[in-house]
Amino acid sequence: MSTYTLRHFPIQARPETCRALLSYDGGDYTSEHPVWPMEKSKQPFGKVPVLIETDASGNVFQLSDSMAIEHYLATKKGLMVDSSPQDRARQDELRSQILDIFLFAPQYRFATEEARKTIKEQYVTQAKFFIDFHESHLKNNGSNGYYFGSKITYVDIALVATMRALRRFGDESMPGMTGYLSPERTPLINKVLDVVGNDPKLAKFFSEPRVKPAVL
Amino acid sequence: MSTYVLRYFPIKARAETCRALLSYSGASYTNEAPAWPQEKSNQPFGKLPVLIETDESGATFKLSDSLAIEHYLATKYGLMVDSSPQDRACQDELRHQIKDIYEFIPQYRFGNEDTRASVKEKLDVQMKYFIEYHENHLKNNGSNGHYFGDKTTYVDIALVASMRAVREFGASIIPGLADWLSPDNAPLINKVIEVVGADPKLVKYFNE
Repeated sequence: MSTYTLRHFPIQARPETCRALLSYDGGDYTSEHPVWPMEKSKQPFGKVPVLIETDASGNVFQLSDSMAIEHYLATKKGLMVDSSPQDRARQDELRSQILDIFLFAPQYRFATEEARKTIKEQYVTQAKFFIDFHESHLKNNGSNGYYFGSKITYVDIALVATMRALRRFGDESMPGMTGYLSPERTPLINKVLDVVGNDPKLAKFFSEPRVKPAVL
Repeated sequence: MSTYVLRYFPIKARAETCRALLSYSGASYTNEAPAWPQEKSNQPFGKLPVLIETDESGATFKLSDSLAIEHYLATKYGLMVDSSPQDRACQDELRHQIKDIYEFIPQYRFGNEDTRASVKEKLDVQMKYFIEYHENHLKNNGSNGHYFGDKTTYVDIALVASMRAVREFGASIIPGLADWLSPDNAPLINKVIEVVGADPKLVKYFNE
């Protein structure tokens, strides 16, 4: 059995899906919060998150990049969609769109006053595409609270982890952000939050202490 | 056999790896440059690139997001690394790092004048990590002009295509960018460009 360490900033932000995947189904890992920017040069690509896996014989595998980490963990835990190449591609597309929406929060937060108006406009436009695309996909999958088939897969977890972070802290980064993704506007996305959110295999993830971020 | 349409702007930017993969596959494809922003709302997510595949029976499959498109094509044409889960993860990591470097270009180009100095600073820092990490990986793989094993895989093609975008689109925009990728500074990265770039399957891509 491998043991895992996730190096990341102690905030509920980008690595949330990594953390959900790590603790899924009773998984264990330790969090390491590097001192920044002093420890930047110690990371493979000068960035976090970084996953460090030590296998039973003591071999160490180090992996950076949140998407690479997510795919690695999701594959290991049998959460990747593999019904067809098109479904797999659709999975990647949906996951990427969830990230795109999330990234508006830090983008707005760190932008100049004058750039913010445009960013907000772009967010409103993309939020509409996001809702249309995801609600339509979820309806085509049977409106059952899952993105693919009738069980939890990678995108379900990514959606829950991301939306929880956004609904909690999004408005602090971009005022009014979460209003565009309210339950009324996103009934089937909300159903995923309900159904997947209550899965006992994610109980550990939800019970971990969350630090209110200074920034998203 | 499927035929493809790739919808994107007629510039050497974010869809280069998609184009290179299509060329490498030998599949029949056309490029479509939609009127913008008039056709934004006709795209699945309001963005480009979009891949439209029509199979033998006439069924169509539409896919957006450049990385999703790349993975789909690379998988279909046997270019994904599958030697182990760690190698696969490493492949993803290397691909995203190449993309991270590319993304500095639109960030610099379309950002405000006053943010450019700080974007350039970050780029210089990340370029150093990028070259070190990739040169080291390529050395560990035998300095043979390939990222994995001794044949062309997805990351090789992504590197060749992205560096073309960086050199043609980026070098004229960001001062000093081309110097980072000189043969002296990045010998093994340049060897991949040389070796993989000479592959006859990429002739169509380079002639576009």
